[in-house]
Amino acid sequence: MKVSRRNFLWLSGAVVAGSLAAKLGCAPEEEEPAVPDDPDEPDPDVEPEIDDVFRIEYAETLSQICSYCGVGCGVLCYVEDGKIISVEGDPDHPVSEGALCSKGAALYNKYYEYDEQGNAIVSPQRMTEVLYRAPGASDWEVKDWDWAIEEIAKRIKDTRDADFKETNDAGQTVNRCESLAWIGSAKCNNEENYLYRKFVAAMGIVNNDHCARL
Amino acid sequence: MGQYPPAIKKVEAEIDLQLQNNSNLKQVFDVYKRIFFVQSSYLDQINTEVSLTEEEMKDCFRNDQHILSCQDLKIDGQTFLDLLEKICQAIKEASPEAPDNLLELSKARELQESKVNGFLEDIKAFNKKELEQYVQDKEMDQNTGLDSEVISFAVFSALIPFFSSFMNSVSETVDFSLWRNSFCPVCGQKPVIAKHRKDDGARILECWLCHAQWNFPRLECPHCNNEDQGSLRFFYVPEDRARQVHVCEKCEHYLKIIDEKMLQKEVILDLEAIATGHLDVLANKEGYTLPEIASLLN
Repeated sequence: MKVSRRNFLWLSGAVVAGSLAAKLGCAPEEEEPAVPDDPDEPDPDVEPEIDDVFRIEYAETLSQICSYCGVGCGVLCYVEDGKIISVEGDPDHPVSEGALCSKGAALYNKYYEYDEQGNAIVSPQRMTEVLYRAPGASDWEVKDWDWAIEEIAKRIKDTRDADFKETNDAGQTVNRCESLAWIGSAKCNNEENYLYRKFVAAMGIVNNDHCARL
Repeated sequence: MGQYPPAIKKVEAEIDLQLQNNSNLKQVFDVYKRIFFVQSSYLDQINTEVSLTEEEMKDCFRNDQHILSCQDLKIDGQTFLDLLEKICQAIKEASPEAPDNLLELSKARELQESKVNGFLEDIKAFNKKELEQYVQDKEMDQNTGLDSEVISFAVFSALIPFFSSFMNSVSETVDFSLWRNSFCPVCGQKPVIAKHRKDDGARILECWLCHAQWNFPRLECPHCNNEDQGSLRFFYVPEDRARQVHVCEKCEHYLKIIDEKMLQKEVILDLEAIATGHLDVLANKEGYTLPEIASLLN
């Protein structure tokens, strides 16, 4: 980091003043402060505050799971003002221990693309709201989450109510719904999968599969 | 993890690099370098025995006990006094403005031959603040005419070879991968600086006393074990993103982190602790403190 000599002189004094180094004789000598001719002018011998010299920026680190394949590698996302500024592998993640493949390492570019001036802008292809295309329609409509969740629940219930079979053609009890299917995710943990499996069984869904087999 | 001390050539080269950026720290680095030379020269002469077996040490780690809470560290009083005398001389040579009384510290009443072992028994588990308090309570500062912080610094500088030698012996038998605490697995002190390891980015804490290095999760406050990612942040000066200050909004403490991955080289944390003194000032300005401080610049 390059900082002007004046700032470094000041910095050195600020850091060691009243500190152990000063007590060990390492502090710079104090000079008699010069009195400015015009009292309204800023005194050249009055040093600026440290936060005038060093601008600082805050960032957060958030842990995430890579969104690409079923391995589910750990990713650390560095976020500044709500925007990702970089990503790297999470060294504490038990699956990947800090490593990322080339796709995972380029996750930043899934979020951003570059404009003509080379500035990183959030990709316009990134979906940030619920989109719905009605049967037979050609255009997408923007919907809110409450509508989407309620609609999904309603359609599942309607389909199950319409097609639920208590017995098969031979009269044997089956209690199943063959017109719904459930596809799990490689990123779900043991407990989540347990709950999904319970839900599927309660619904009578027999077409139950997993993305890693597709 | 690595053994202590680093090669002298590497230390000298690293100091030269640091001075290219901040020549005003020349005298401080000179003091550090001379102390380091004295400490390094004694490390080979000091034999510290580890009485615990590998399994006993692992049991200590499993029970969250650092090694020196399960066994005693024998410190030879005479060697300690020799070291203290040489360290005080080294400080005075590098910094002629240092108090003259420093050269008489090893002859202090509490450090006389008949008393030095008792003194070491009393203080060897202390942190910096506790030692300063002890010095004041025993009026060592008044008797020697030295500031309690200066005495504490000199005494710890003379203890570092004993603790580092012991740490080297421990690490030959057992690694610290079982250890997941914020205090040192060997001597129990709290770290003041850490790094993100060059190879994989893992957060490595380093003990300022025995120089043990151990892994600690990136997204956890080492001071209060807060894991809430929303209250853990870090700041940096944009011109130097590799040197960061990680802060916890809950306990309002901080830890300086040097990112080796970003620098693409292995760093010497003792030197970085000195070179990043401005980050301590900035952290204090932002309202964050270190629970226990022991570096040369603080």
